Amino acid sequence: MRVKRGSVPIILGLLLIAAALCVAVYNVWENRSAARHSEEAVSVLTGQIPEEPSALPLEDEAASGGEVEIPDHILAPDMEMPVLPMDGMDYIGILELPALDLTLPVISEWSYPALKLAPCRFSGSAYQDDMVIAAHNYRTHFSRLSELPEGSRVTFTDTDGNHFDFEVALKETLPPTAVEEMTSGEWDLTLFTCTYDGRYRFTVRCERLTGE
Amino acid sequence: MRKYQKYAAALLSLLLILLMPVQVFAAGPIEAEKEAELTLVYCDDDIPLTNVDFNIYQIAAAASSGELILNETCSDYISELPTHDAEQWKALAFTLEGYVLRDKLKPADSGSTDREGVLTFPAEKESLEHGLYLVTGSRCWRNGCYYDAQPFLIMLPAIDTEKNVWDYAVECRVKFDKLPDVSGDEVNHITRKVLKVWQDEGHEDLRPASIEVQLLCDGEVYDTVALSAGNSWRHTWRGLEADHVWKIVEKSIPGNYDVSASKEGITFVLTNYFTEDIDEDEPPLEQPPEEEIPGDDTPAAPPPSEPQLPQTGQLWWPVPALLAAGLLLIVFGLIRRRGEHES
Repeated sequence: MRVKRGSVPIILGLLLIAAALCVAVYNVWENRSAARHSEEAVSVLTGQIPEEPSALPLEDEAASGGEVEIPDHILAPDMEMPVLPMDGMDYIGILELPALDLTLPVISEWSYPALKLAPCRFSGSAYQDDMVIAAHNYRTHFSRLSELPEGSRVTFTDTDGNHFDFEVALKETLPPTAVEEMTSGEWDLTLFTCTYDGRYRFTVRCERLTGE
Repeated sequence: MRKYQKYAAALLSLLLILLMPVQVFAAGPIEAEKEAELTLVYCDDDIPLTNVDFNIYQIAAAASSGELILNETCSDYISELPTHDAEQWKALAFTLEGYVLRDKLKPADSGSTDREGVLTFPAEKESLEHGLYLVTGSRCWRNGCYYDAQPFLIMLPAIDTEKNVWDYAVECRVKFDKLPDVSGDEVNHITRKVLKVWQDEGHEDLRPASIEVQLLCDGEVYDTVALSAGNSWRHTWRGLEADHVWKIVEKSIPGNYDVSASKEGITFVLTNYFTEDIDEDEPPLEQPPEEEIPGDDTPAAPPPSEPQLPQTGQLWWPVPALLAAGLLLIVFGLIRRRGEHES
């Protein structure tokens, strides 16, 4: 049987277009799946995290007869961050980026399967002002991180209900090998994700707002 | 009250620093035949706290050079004595008090304060061996408040830093926690918390999956709980009777770790420090130098790969690339087909 001239490149071209569609469909599905999971996790966490921390403020010492409960993270900032387990993952709290209308759960330890579900703590602790959070550049996670205006508010709420308020201070792009620079602890909170081409890490540095 | 406690803490810290053998060699050797005594003054300003029982436990023996050698019993609880950090000494005293109460260790000497609030050791014994002592006192009630003597460590004899000599007659004021006695009121229950902290950066793999903590009621084990990552390494006991003394100990200390306890407010903080378990008798292993083999052109092993930040990007770039390549191929195929028709 004689094959028509030009059929081979046409078939190959169609296969490539089909492959492109497959990748796009998979990405959209992954995006939606991450969005759905994050939404569910935030909903469950919001129900479990107390609205206000249970510990008495220090000024109530006299009224309580000396029986003061100092918040754990103030008493021992080097403590492990408390977690709430859900579907085999441990969550350390909720991250809010009002400027992007995002509310996301944060998983205690990062891994590639965990990153597919929600942002993850890459290193540090909110109690020691050196926490670094990584997330995929899904549209519902950190893809719009570059749109965060400097000076905008970022809030992290731990599983005890303690609120930590931050302000975006700096945006920068780092190479994937800049592990030390990323985790140097110079910034109170760091958020990062991959750039579109995956070659660099877009990074947002935040400063803690105190006295609130 | 907090101001007073800070003032008292500063005094005790200063006392500890002054009494520790900082300048042992400058003060000369300790005279073994000379007896040491310890006088405790237990007063709330000018109100003496009378008839309060105190015990002293020897933690380490002192050599004539001033070097301290841990007692065999105490070496079950700690592997080494702290340096000159006053907070560490304070935490060590607090930690050891729990263990001596739980294990009912026999004190080196005991006695009660007189009507002036003063007690001098040796009280029941004839003499005291030179060394490091833990001093503990019992709870007492006065004028609607209860006083809990804070445990502390003291060296006998102590160094007199002004004269740079050994002081064999040591005197110190005992620090205390003073809180209103709520046991007769409606609120007669209290809450106690324990929080575990790990100081083992880089050795987290050696951390046990869980540890057990014992709550002591007047020195007797009242409850034992397991702490783990599952309960965020903490536990709260509610509804405890206020007129008892509540303390905690770590049931057994994990290998490679030392434990240190402290209390702030209602919370006990139990910190486990990683300690390198190095056998000093064993010489370090020396790597033999690598011999160069003539004519060996085998390339050296590549350096370990540089650590990288996680890949957090979705693969979107292949989509336009594949689409463009596919379209190009189709156009190419159509042109060829058209050429065939025309020929």
